[in-house]
Amino acid sequence: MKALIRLWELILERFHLKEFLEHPVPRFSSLNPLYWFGDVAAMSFFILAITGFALALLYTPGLSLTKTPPDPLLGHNAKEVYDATESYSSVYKITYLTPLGFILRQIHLWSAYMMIFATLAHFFAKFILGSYKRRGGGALWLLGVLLGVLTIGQAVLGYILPLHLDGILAIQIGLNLFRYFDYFGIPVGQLVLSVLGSLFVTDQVIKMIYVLHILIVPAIILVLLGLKINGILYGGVAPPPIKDEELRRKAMEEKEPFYPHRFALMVGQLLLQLSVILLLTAMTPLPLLEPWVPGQEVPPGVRPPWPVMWYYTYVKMIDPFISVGLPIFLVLFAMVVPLLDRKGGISIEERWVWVIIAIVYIAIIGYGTVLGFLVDIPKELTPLTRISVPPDYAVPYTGTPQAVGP
Amino acid sequence: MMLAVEIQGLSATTLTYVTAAVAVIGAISVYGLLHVDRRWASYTALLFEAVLAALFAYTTNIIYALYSAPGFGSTVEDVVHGVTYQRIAAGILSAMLFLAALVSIGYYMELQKRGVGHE
Amino acid sequence: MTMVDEDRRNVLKIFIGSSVALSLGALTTPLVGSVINAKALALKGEYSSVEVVLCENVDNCPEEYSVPISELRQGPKFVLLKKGNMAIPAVFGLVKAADGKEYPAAYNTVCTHFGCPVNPTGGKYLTGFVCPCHGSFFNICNNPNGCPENPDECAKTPDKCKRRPFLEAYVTGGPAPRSLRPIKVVVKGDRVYAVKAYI
Ligand code: FES
Repeated sequence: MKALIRLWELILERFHLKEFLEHPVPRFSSLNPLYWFGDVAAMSFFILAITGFALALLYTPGLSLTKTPPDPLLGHNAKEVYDATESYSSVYKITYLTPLGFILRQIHLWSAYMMIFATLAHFFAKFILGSYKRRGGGALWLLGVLLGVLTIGQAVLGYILPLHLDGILAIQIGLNLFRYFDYFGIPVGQLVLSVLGSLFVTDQVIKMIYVLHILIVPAIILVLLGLKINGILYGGVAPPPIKDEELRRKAMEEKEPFYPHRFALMVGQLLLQLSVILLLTAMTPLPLLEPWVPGQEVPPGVRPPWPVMWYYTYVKMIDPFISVGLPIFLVLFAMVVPLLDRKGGISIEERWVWVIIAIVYIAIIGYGTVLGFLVDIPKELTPLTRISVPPDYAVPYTGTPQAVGP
Repeated sequence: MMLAVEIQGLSATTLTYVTAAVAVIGAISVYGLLHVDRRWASYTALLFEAVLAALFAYTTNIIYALYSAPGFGSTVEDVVHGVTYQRIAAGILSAMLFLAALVSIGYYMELQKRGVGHE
Repeated sequence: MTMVDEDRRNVLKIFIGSSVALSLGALTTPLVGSVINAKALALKGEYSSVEVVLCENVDNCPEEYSVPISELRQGPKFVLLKKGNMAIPAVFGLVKAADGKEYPAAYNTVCTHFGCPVNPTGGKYLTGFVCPCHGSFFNICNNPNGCPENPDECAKTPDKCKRRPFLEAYVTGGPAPRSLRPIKVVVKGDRVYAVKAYI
């Protein structure tokens, strides 16, 4: 035991880790829940990276036709065999036919959900704290907004990968929704087509989504997250939202060393988080949904991944030509918040207008999400815009139709 | 049983109850001891961790035996069994991590109480 | 003296910096360029659809773009038309016209609302499509003289009212903004060939 401690001390000393590890951190931020969610999101990202690595080794993207038994978690108990895509079969194999593969996939799913939830909570908390008002806070806020967008993007990409029915409908809607996006004469739908090569899911499309999900987006997230952690390390966290200058200064000055104090807390947080994820795995495992292959009849109803449910609800309810760009405006607004909210103090009493704006902002997302799960949108919904098409673009014949008589 | 593969070992229900009992007793005693003495809490946690680790090893053993048995996966019942045991394994892991988290956070609380700049 | 040195150093920095930036930029061009499908960019798009020519001429159209008519007599048939990296889901079917004749037809089954795959209706003959996602209904006009857009108006002034062309799969309900995109077919021998598609 003594030797081990000596070795540890030696490592700390020889690698000059002491200087780094013992840097002082303010104490108030470990006690205030508004400062917790960023850590949770970042930890979730690393959990996702590790489980994602293992999953990527076992997963095969592809649309070729295979057979698969039914999903036992969905209550199917039939002895039947279903048609499925290669992607689906490989996820089936990971989930149900690999020892401990089930746990692996469940950890990945639940930590993804946790990451998104934590990201939204973190965004909301920092909005309320006005943390962009401190020096360097604006840059961190910008990084955070970008990271939030990428996180939600990752959720959608990951949801598509198993190519279950819901995933295929999600990719179909993702590929075709942007046809409506033509605000400034930029045909975004056309751009999607030119990059992915198809408006119907193909091997090429699913490969592209796979590469985006496991390589490109995580790489960008990693870089931005590194910048952000660096900014917090050297710039410090947001000051507490207290009006009294004197009290605030005192809170800021009360420090504790990162190691072992905060370090112990962070390890505890990571362990607790993993424990919660595994408990969710044991109690409420998420099923792999039903398979589908092109050409099969599609049962009614479409369930998008919950992180984008709000968006789906709004494009469904409001004319899509108008609402398709809603996320862009939400993101742009979030980006300019630090420029608009400049005057006044940082306490919540002084910033009540912005606290209300933050609540409205989150309410837009929350309201859409809840509505999407509760309300079945009326079927006889007529859009504001109907495109009447000339016969050439509507009729399956170039000349006069040819009859085939018996 | 319609199973193509026979399971040698404790049934899933028994295993669940054993795990739950160990986890709850462990969590309560570690949490209680944290208020008394952190050192004793750590030792107790270590003890329960060892018991849970043994349980985890036992469950994993069953899982591997089940999944590597010839003919596994030919019926849905096999898969359901596999999933049940994996869920138990996840529960055991969850309890282990929870105890470790308790000790870790307890350590932080104690450092806070001891005052700033001790180390 | 030191000023000059500073200046020279800055100029050097600018040179090095810009050449690095330029070469990195040049490097990304093939990376991005190989991914972007130039052919798809060149396709002309109108009325929220893009034209894809499957074969210029029926005589050398590959079999994979065709369905035997005898098979269509059993009911509508799904075919995934593949061209390059593109896949177009199509349903071929026979439409029983009001004049009693049977006409082969094919439609792109990507719903014009958000893009879900639509389900054909009508059993043995193709009469229309219904979308599972938000319940858009598409009805295939089976009157060789066209189908009135507004039946009441057509009852009053039969020659002046607006009519939908024969075989258009027009929207009768739901949120879809335009009729289903067609696939141009040609009958040759005992097979129906898809020659051009709209996606
Ligand atoms: S996608 Fe067909 S109705 Fe919405």
